Amino acid sequence: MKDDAIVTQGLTKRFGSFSAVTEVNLRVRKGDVYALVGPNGAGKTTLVKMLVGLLAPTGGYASLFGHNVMTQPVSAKELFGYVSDDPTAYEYLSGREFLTLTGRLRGMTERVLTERIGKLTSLFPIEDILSRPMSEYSRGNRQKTAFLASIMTTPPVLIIDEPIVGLDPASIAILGGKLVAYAHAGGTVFFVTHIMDFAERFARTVGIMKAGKIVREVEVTQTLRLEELVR
Amino acid sequence: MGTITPLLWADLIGFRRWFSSQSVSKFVVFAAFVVVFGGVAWVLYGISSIFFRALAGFEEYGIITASYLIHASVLVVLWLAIGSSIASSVGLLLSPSRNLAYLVALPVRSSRITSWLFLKSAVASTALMAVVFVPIMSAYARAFDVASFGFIVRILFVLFVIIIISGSIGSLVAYLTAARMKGREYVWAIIGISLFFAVMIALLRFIFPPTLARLSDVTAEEFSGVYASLPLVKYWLPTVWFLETVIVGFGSHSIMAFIAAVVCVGLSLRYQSEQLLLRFQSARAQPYRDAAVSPVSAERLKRVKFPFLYKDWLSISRMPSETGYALFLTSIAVFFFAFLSFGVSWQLRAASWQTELTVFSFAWIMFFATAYLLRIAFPLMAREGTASWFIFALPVVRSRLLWSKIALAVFLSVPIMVFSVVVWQILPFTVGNRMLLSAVTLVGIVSLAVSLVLIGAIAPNFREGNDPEKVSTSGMGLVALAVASLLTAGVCDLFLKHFNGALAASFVFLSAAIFVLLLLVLSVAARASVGKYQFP
Repeated sequence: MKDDAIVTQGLTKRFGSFSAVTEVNLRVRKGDVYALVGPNGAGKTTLVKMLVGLLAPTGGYASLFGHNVMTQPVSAKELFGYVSDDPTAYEYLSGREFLTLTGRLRGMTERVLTERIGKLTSLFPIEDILSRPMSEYSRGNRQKTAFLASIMTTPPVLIIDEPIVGLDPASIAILGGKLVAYAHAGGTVFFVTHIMDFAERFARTVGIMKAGKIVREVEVTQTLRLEELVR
Repeated sequence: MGTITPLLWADLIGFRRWFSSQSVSKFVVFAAFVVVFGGVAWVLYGISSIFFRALAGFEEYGIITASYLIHASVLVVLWLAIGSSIASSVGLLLSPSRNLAYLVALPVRSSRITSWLFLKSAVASTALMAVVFVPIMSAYARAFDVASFGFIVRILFVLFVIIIISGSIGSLVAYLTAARMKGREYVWAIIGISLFFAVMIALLRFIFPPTLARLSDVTAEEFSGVYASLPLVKYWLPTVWFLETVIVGFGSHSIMAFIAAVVCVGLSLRYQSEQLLLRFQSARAQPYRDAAVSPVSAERLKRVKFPFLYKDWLSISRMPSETGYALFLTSIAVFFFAFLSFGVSWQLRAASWQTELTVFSFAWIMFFATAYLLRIAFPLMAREGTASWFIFALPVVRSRLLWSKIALAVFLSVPIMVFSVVVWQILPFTVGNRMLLSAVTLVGIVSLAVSLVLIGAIAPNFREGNDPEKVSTSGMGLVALAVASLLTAGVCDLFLKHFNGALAASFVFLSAAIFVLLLLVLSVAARASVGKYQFP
């Protein structure tokens, strides 16, 4: 249990009579890169929203390193960085202001903030757009900025919903490499994707979700054909 | 017309469908705006009636003086309509809608699009200008007993020609200047509003010189000399065509006015058609060239004590639609109280009017404050909707967000408080009433701002978070409007009791206690609600 970064037990979410997520028991080990794959409407995003506290479960619980997301929201949220499937944020802020705001709200000091933003902006070639309002960003640039915001404080867990939508091939490779490096450095990465190739290339564990349940979990190997498993 | 008709139909369908969801609250908000414009029209009618009735007693000299006043009001309406047309056309050119982007991509001639836009703008302007023009003309018709079907037709004809000419000039000015404003909209909005009021004041001073007041004192022999010296008594002025159409009837001057309108609209639409695509492309391309945000605010964000508050301030100050709404409302309020002040300084100085004037002015100040805060303060929480994934997944106690919104709402209500105190100084109140009104208004506006934020946080319409107009016309917007109305009505009742000597101290304390209790209940409900927000 000590090595489990994310744990869910009987996690359920119903919307009226429809059950979007049904009694999901999930265990993501510390240092893992876990990809959750599945068809549209499988309940992946609903599961993620319960993990990050944006949705209250109808049943069961979710915890990060033992901190229950619903009963200890602040301490649980200190442990993860999150990127939504729609990374639209404050359109009136520039990317730099958005990163600064994230740092301030996560308790970073002015000096640390300046250093960190300088370091992060070298990850993707987006320095030249950071001074522009985010309303003018392309989908891919929003995604990159949101990703940088999620790792402002180097949280122990990264939770990313559809990390590569809108990204160009070079950025996909950079992002995938960063996720793997994040896990090598002791972090844990949990992401949701439709792109099997991305999951195969960068994840160590893949969970397959169908109709609100995780139906299978597999370790990624060279011979794995995920698309066949999802069908 | 082949392309224009379906576009106008689509607009009509859009207008009807706007009422199809949340109909009750939208109807109430619509009715509230009708009340505002009705109030402005009523004040204008009242003041104009006072003038025209006084003039009607002087027979022929009265008619001549009245015609001068009508000529002056035609000029004022023309300037108002030009200002309104410039503002709406600049807004359209700086932020073209998605519909316009779609139309521009279709094989539709630019001339059709510009004609459609012009027609829409003309309809809106006609409704707006009728609020000013019709009451003045009605007051004239009643005072001089000239009301007839023909008179109504002539009034509508003159209004139509004024709208066409002003719309042509206004949109032409917008096409010539809008490109320079991109990226500096806020500065240009302030310059534009200042220029508009400066010209308006200069125009009023020019057309209403001190000589005008002498007309009632001079002898019959002196009258023609003094009248001829007035600035608008020039028969070569094109506005004389409008005046003669109203006073004398249809004739060659009406044909001249019509030809002027046709020439203006023809030239203007031709230029707009040629420039539409270029202006549209310029509006879309400009942001990538020079819309960088100053690094100062990012640096400030690193240091400010309340980053939430600063972020929320940027959310208002960087939205041209919000600042534009605030400026628009301010303009209406300034005009309303300027005319009221003008009217009461002539007739209503008597002490017996103090009670009515106090209650009337307070109710209107609170009305403007409600209209402003309902749009600016009430949606503050709902506006987090687009970034809910970010803000509510951060390790921050959610109630901190609520307190930040309350603090911003109080800060944003400061301009209304200053405005109201200025109004109390201008209107002819006794010193005691001025102090009483100032104190009550300050408390009332702060309470209103806090209440509206709390109500807005109880059930925020996150889905419409990027459209504050829709948020404020939702179901909870209606509740907020009801609370604001109750607060205003309650205080007006206290004023009436106070002036009638029937206000017991215990009743004041009881009212205050009820209101504090209401704020507490709202505060508890909002805090509980903030903790339970969900984002499916």
